Amino acid sequence: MRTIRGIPTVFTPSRALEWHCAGTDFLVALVLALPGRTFSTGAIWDRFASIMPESQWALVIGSIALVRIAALTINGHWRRTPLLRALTASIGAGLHAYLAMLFYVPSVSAFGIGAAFSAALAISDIRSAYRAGRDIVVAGRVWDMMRSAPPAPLPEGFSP
Amino acid sequence: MNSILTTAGSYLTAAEPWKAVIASVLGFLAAGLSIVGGVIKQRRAVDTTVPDQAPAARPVTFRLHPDDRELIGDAREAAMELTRAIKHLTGATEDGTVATEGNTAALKRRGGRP
Repeated sequence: MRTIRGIPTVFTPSRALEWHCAGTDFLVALVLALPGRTFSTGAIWDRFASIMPESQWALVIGSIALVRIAALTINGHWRRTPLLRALTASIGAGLHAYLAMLFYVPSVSAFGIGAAFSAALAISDIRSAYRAGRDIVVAGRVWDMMRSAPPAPLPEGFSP
Repeated sequence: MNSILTTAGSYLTAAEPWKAVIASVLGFLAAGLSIVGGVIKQRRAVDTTVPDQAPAARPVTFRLHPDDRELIGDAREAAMELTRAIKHLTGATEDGTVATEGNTAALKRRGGRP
């Protein structure tokens, strides 16, 4: 019951972009972790393979995605969550800008689809960081109000 | 002019292997600046998060004439004496303690009428 009450807080329109980026990263990590050699499907992956193997890429991208999903899930239940969201959005922006430049191989294509998608995700994360920054102030005000005028305790034996 | 272009070209060539890292750092910094911008923007915005607190109700006080104060004082003393007398007669106890006997039984024991 408590979880059901928390869902409207976790999934709000202002955080949709963050969920989108986190979900995309998670799926990319899943595809890289699944059996098969994605890096052998084209010359565009050569630079990725030269940095680290496919499984390690899956681990790095998947870890960032899971941290973001965790931050979004507990959002609203902990005061520092907006700050955590802002930090993970910044990391996401750095990661996607990095991927965009790795996908950008002029000898293969002028501006590949992978580079375009990653650049769009990087811009989305910069926008998400802005929204999270605004939420930091809002959360601070709400918690200050809760501290000065705490809500009445629930009756004994009452479970919302 | 050619020397400037040559120098710029050499810098770009040198940065070529690092372009992904540079882009990543720039993306991270842009997000950091966005956070700061969001915080500043929200601090300047009118706060609609917390509703305006209702002003505290002014405590009600009675202003009495000095004669009435004396009357009230006498009544208070009379009430205290009456309370003390009833307590003495009935054996009543303070709140939180259990009386050892009922008021009627205490009055009978002391020779009073119930």
